[in-house]
Amino acid sequence: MRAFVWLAAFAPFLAHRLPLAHRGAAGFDFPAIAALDGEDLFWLAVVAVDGAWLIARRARLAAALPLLAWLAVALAAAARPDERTAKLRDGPREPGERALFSPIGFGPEESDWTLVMAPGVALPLPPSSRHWLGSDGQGRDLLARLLHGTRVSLGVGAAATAIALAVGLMVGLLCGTLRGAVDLVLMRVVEVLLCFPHLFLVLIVFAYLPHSRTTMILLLGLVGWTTTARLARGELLRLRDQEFVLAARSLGASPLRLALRHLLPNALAPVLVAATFSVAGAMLAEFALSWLGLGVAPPTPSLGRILAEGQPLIARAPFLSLAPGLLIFAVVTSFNAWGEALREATTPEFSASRQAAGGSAP
Amino acid sequence: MSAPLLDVEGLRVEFAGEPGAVAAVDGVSFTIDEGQALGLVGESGCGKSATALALLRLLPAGGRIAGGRLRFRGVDLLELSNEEMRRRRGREIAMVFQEPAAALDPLFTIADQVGEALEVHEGASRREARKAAIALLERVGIPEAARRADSYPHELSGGMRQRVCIAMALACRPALLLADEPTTALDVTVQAQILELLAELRRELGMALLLISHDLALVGASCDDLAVMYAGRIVERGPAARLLERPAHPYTRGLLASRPRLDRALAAGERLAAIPGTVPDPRAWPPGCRFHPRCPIARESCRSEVPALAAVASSAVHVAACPYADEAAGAAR
Repeated sequence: MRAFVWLAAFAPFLAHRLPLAHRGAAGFDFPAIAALDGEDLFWLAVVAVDGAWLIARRARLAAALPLLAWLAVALAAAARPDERTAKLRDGPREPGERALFSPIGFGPEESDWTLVMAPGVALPLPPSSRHWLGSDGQGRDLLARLLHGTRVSLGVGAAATAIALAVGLMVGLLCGTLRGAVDLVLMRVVEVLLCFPHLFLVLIVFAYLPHSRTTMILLLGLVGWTTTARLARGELLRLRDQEFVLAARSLGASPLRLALRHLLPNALAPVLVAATFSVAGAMLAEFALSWLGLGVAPPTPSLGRILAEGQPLIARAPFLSLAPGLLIFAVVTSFNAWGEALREATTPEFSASRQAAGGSAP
Repeated sequence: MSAPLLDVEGLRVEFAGEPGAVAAVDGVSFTIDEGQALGLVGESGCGKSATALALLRLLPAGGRIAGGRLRFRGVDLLELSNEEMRRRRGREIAMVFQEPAAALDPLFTIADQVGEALEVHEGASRREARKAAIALLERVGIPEAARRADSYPHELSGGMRQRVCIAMALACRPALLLADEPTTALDVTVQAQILELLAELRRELGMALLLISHDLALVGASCDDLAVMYAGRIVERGPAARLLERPAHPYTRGLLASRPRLDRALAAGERLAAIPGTVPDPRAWPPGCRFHPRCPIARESCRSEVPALAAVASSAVHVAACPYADEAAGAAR
């Protein structure tokens, strides 16, 4: 799980159409880093926070990578934006001009024109030292696309889940603490929404809205909150009758303190575990939508899109379909495994009994 | 004589039920003086816990106080607003529960929980609350309290958890501590330690104690006064020593007789005495004296006449709700 997130965060450094570093007549500049946008920086910030957490847990080796993220953020701030084409890669250079490209050397949306225009070359390109996994039908580097596609898909899944979580927790809290008519009405709404299969609901509503990544995230989030709300409500109802809640009340805790300090944290663990699984679910929905041609708009890669684009070529180049398929499988599996681990970690009794048993994973 | 700390008069607690409301506590009256310990004894389902929760106005859903007065330091608790009542909970009246494992929030360290009342009532900062919590944990006999303060409840034994619960309840030095079967979930050896701790803290803080239990003798040893409850009513009340020595109500005598004794072996073929039958259903309390279906000395009049608490052997402090208590006590001697 962490590996996928970090790969996604470092995608611009691993695969970019612009050089990471370049020395020209005017001196050094860092085109790829200067081109980092807000989304890239957000990913790096996630890794940086994750790394800080790792440092706190004294996993120094693993923490070295996020330090790179901080470094990159600093460099980005210092570098001048500079739009330069990839001609630098193969084209004629000025004397003394040097360029350092990312390891993969190509961006996800960039065809390798040098090879595509060359006579006698058949697409997709086979794997070579230039394109490690070959290219797709338009001469775009497959590895670069997979890397960036994972990032887009992860982002959609996480953002949709965040929306679902926020809405669901709010509704769950309202229902679980206020009860009465509020509970009755909101739960009926939830039941009506749950009657529709999520994917079809999204497809139907999507037909009336502009197709963009943002609308897709919003839609996936707004159909996904029902499960969270039900779960949070159920947890709160269960907790309400627990003796420690009564004990806290007997100490004079106010209703607000009770809700925020005792009820919510205790309800949160199972909800967060479910949210992890729902990231995987939202990503699968994104794969399906993109595969149907509805999700992410064409030049942007997502795992679903790569799969869809590989389909017409499946007889000639089965790997173009196989690779994104395997990656989807791996990402979803890793999220589910993470959910399992989170469930263990958030159940103190359970982790204690595991420590007592020697702490080895089952 | 000054006014008692707590004066409960005709307390009636009802639970919503089918077909109508059920009175789990039906006209209970007692007083507790400053620093006094009252033991409230009875079988499960007789209304002991409902009485304690009513004192905090924390009855579970469906329960309500249907009548009576709860005067605490001269103020009727039933007339306070919710907010005024909340400010008294934990600071003036605190409670220790039966299941220490369930009464602690599993997500917070014990120092957090012990300090909570201080944060709520005295506006203590987290640091101050923590410091006070460690001192409290030390006081209730948690070894190496400073180190244990960051433990989670599941890392402690049952006895230690109950000590933590006691520390929680005592944080704001309440004038009255309600202890609902505080030792029932614990090992016998630990029970004695916890009762000893409660007695010690009571002396030290000058705090009054309402100790609820089903074990008459256990409570008798650590309380000044005893009140015996049966089917939602108090059937006998008096100084602990006297009540244990000369139980008057047939129910109290039955409770004492049904306890296995170490000082006297059972004769061959003799069986441990038991009160026949079971506690009646609150939805259908028997008419008259509620104990009459199980009473060995019941007469015809017991079926219809509700006995009032009356002095036993002309005592000013010992009362029982049985018109035949005196003669039964005489016969038993």
